[in-house]
Amino acid sequence: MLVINFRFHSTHLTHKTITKMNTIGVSTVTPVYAGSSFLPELIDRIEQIREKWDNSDYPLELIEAIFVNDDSIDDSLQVLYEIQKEKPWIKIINLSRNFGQHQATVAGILHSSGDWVVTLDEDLQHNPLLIETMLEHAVTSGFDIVYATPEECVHENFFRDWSSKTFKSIISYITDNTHVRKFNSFRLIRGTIGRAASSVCSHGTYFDIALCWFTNNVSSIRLPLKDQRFVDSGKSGYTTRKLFSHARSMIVSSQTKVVRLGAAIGFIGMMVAGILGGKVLFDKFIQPETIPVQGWTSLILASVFFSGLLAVLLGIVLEYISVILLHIQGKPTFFVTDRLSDQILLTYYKNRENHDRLSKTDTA
Amino acid sequence: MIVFQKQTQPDKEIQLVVLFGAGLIGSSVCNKINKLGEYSSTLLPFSWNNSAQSRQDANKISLYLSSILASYSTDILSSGKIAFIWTAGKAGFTASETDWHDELANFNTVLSIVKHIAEQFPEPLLLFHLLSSAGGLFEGQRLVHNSTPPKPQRYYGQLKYDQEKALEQLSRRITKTIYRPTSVYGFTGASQRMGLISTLISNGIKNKVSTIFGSLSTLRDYVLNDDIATHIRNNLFIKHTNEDVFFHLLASGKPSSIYEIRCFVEQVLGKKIYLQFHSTPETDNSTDITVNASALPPAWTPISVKNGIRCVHEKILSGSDLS
Repeated sequence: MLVINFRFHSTHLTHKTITKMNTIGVSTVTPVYAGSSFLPELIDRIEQIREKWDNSDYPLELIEAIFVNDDSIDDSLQVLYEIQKEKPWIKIINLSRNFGQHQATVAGILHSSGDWVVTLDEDLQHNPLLIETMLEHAVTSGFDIVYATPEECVHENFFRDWSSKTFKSIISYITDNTHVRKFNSFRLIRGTIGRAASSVCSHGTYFDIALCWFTNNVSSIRLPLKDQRFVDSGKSGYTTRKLFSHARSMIVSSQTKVVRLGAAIGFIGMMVAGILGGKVLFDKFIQPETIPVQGWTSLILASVFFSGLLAVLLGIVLEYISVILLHIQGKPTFFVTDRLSDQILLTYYKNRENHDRLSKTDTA
Repeated sequence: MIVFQKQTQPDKEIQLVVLFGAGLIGSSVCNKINKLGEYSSTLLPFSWNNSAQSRQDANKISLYLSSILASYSTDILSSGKIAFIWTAGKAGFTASETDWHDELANFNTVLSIVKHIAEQFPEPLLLFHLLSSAGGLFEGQRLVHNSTPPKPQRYYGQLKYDQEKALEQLSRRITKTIYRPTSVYGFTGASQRMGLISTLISNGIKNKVSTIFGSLSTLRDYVLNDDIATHIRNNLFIKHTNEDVFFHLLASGKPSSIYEIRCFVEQVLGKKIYLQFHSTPETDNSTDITVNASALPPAWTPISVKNGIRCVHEKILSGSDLS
């Protein structure tokens, strides 16, 4: 007996839809560079949550843990291969050379199949057990991306945390993207959006900026995070050079406010020069005795006017280049996403809440 | 259907290759065999639309094959092999119940030829290579593995499942290899049925709108027809045992969304392509099908979808009528 004509409608859930969406698949993606000492524990923690979901009525399934070996400098790859023998749900992607953390993350997301994708660092900074909290936050509030932000000083170093925060604020202002402050490598992304953003990521594209091209439903949640590597060794994976490189990518991937700001300043300069020029002309012909030095004011006004004009024209040219750049980078004109599968989790959370309330009433 | 007969000195290799269906994959298999330069080919009629006619054609094919085999020495018959390849498939994802019955009937007719040859000639090793479909068998399933049970969702998948079952019931003397490719793409001519990728490229070149029966997020695992043909050809010449049924899940192990494919096609074409989305209950094809990379056969070496798209683009530009 065959059943055909299944169709996913927004107004009702058909048999196949329910079957397909019984569980929500979650994939984790971890770029690996120097994590051989952390990986066994990280995988243990991922397995804990995988087993927890498998053995409960939680409609979640950790379908795969993807590790992207970004030409690691230690024996991480061997460690992963060894663990994979016993855990077939671990997927290893071996990059041909070191491409960097963002590119490795993009490669991992492009190999994922999950409804949700979680990106984790290799160094235990991000506890996989927190995925549940992030997912609940995303589903109950209708977000497509949830970043984890640290509850307290992640590096246990005031200057390091302050500089990181200030840097994000400056970039957020320049790029006119308020989400920049939330950016963190511990993120939960709706699979469809993560894969679409990864598809368009190219040289110079900042992955998190590309994510914002596809959705505005971005949130952050405060979670206990610690950069254990920095706390232990005082060394961070992010050097000043890397921070500037990130800043450059973020600015290049965004339609920068600076360009418009420059053009606006130039336009104001032109206007001021025009008004003052009128005043000078008026003085020259009506009350010439009020001008003690001949020619100086006209020279300055001409200079301000033409500098302003040049700034405006340059702003227009840069705006054109920015549009072309975004077009080349693949910023979409539209993207369609389906959030109906969230219903399964929402129903689960609702039932759980009711159950908890009843239990409390019974106890009382 | 096409019969390839070995022309060079008969040895322990495949003496005859009998291929049914020269479509996207079949024609590519033909090319691979022709390139070996050791086989001559003969085209024989086999009706795909009239079951009575196809049974008559099958009888003629049986007689033709018998006459060739009868001309071989006992030595060749005892050490040689005959390979049957089924790469036919007129019915696609939107196949109706009638298509299902018709194609299954054709397949059973071909199996009757194999049975007839097996009864008449007890000695040569018989191989049957069936091209099934992972897409049809595992529709809506993610990270499909070798142990994943097929769950056909429509007539197309049921047809493939029934063909596999019918083949498995053949005598154990016949070595059975079942290929389960995922979403196949490639180009063998404008007159052939085209898949998503070749349609996007072809329409992109012509500035025409392509209709997608799914969504941009639909995840599939794309494999090039040439890679499948090479794998089938290579499998013809490996040492066979007649003990088991061999299943080959032919995928790349990397899921790709239609959005990703669209980006690749636009990069290769160097321009934007036009899309429209259309879906009716009959044509809806939006469920994800992805494959676990660890389930892929060892000797299977697919190229990346990006490079595959470049290959298809070159083929369309060089060998097609784009009118």
